[in-house]
Amino acid sequence: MSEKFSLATERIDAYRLRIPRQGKMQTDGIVYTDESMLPNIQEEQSLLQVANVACLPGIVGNSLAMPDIHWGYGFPIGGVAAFDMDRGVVSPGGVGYDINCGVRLIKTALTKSDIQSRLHELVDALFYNIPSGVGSKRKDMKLSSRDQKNVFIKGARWAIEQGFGYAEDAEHIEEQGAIPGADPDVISDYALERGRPQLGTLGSGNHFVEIDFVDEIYDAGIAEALGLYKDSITVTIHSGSRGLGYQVCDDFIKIMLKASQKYGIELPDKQLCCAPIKSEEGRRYLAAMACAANYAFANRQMMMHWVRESFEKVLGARPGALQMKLVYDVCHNIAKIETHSVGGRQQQLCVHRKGATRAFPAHHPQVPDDYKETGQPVLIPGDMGRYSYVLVGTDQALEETFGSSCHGAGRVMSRHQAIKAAKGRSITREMEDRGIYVRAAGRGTLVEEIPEAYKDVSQVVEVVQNAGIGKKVVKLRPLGVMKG
Amino acid sequence: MKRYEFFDHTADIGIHIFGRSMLELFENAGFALFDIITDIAAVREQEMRWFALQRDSIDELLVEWLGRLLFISTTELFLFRRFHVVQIDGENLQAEAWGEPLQDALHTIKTEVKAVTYHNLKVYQEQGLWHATVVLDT
Repeated sequence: MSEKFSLATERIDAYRLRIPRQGKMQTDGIVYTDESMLPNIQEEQSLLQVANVACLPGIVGNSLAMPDIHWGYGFPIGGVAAFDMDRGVVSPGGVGYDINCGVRLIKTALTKSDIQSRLHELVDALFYNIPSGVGSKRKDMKLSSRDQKNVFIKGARWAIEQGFGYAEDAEHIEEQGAIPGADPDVISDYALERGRPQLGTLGSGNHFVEIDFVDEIYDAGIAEALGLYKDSITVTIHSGSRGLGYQVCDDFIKIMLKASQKYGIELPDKQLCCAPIKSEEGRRYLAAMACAANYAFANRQMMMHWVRESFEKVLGARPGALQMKLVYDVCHNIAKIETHSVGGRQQQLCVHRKGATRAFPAHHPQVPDDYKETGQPVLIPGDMGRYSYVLVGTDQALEETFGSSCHGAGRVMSRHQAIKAAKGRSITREMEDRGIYVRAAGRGTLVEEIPEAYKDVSQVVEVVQNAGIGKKVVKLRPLGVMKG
Repeated sequence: MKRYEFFDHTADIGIHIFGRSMLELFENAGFALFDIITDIAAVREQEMRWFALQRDSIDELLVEWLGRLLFISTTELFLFRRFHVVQIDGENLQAEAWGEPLQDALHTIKTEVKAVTYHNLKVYQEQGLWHATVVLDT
């Protein structure tokens, strides 16, 4: 980490800031932000992290950061960087520990008035059915090592085959719920051991299941195509690959620290350690990352099934009667091999999205048939007290950001600051006053997750919309929240 | 002397650890990790685990040590309370740590730590005191 690196920046327009190529940077950095959000960003090391990523070999285009940029480790959170398949690198730190942490949005045939009086029961049922917090698991879940290997390869489809959901669910998942190239043989025994008891568990920290209603509609045509109507009830799941992903990342950072030396890659921060994409180390990482990503897809698929069961039980509905269908499931910590147009030429690239969401436009071949005319849904959760957004991808995102957009609000307070700010307050009561029923497994979770610990997600989404790298469709407001 | 203090890191937890010796620095790092995870005073010293670890540099050795403690804690649902680093010889560490299995009735989990990162990782000596900075992914 070079603290002497004094960083020059220049404003491109109201929503874009350039970090011109300087020092060992191979390319410019571009940060999507407006003047009002910049002071918070400048207080931390995130701009330096954008510059550090620009130093990595084989980077194509700019080192990018979405408007929810904040200080991560290695890559900034909100960072997007694409690398040439032959000259470029893949970095586990550019994906993060929670591989394929992501968001899944479920729509329902219910409206706000249908569930208002049953809200506590619904949240309590979610809490009972979905294991959350440290060490919890379903007593009816036992994963053999053979099952686990199938999870790594088949992802969400494995869960569907076991009865967790419907075949059609897979159509509305990024990569149809399974990233190709997964090789269970590259997963360490440590990672297997950490992952085995945790499939079908929410985790803790900022992971949640949330019941929302559609509060505002910005594009009625697209909202209707997505099946979202004023006051209709939705459920959002935010979780990832649990201990399996953390251990895969940890294992491969050790390998990549050695690989960086072996291939003569100079690292501005050890956490950026990497290897050429087609090297033995690079290929093995991508194969392991795919296993963890597919585990995360299966994990969210199972939790969706339990969300459906919880609603049907509490509301006394037959299976399927509530029309609880998957709108979409996105990854926001991932590296993907994708084809993009670079200088007018189609090129295969390794796109890292670290706290960023794929945002492909209408008619893109990777967008499911149902959304061919609308663009891919982009799911942007906010904090537990305010609101979340559904956007769709745009042509401009495809041109400017390798088809990427923001992933959430982004923290403004550290967890430690949040704990201090929440001292002596009843967060549960404050949330009840806002009409939101919250339950958390961990004692510390609620205070760390207080709404003011996060940026106002509406500001983040405004920058996305005004910069043209996403299009607002609806705003959701929380009614019930289950935290890990 | 404080065993550790926080430094503000927006998304995660940054800790600055102190020690009068390298051995004590590593012991205090273990303490800091479990002080963040749980109410450490409630953990009893009932079982011991033995560690023999090796990495290429002293800062990576610190991540390895904390990473192993975290691995045992998450896979065995075990909490540590006391740490005794027997020896650090070059980039090799031998240590013992005591604690007990997690029990809902006795222990609370304050924060789930996902991983020990290499970001801003430093181990250094200044004015006779050993220091380390580590960022935990939470």
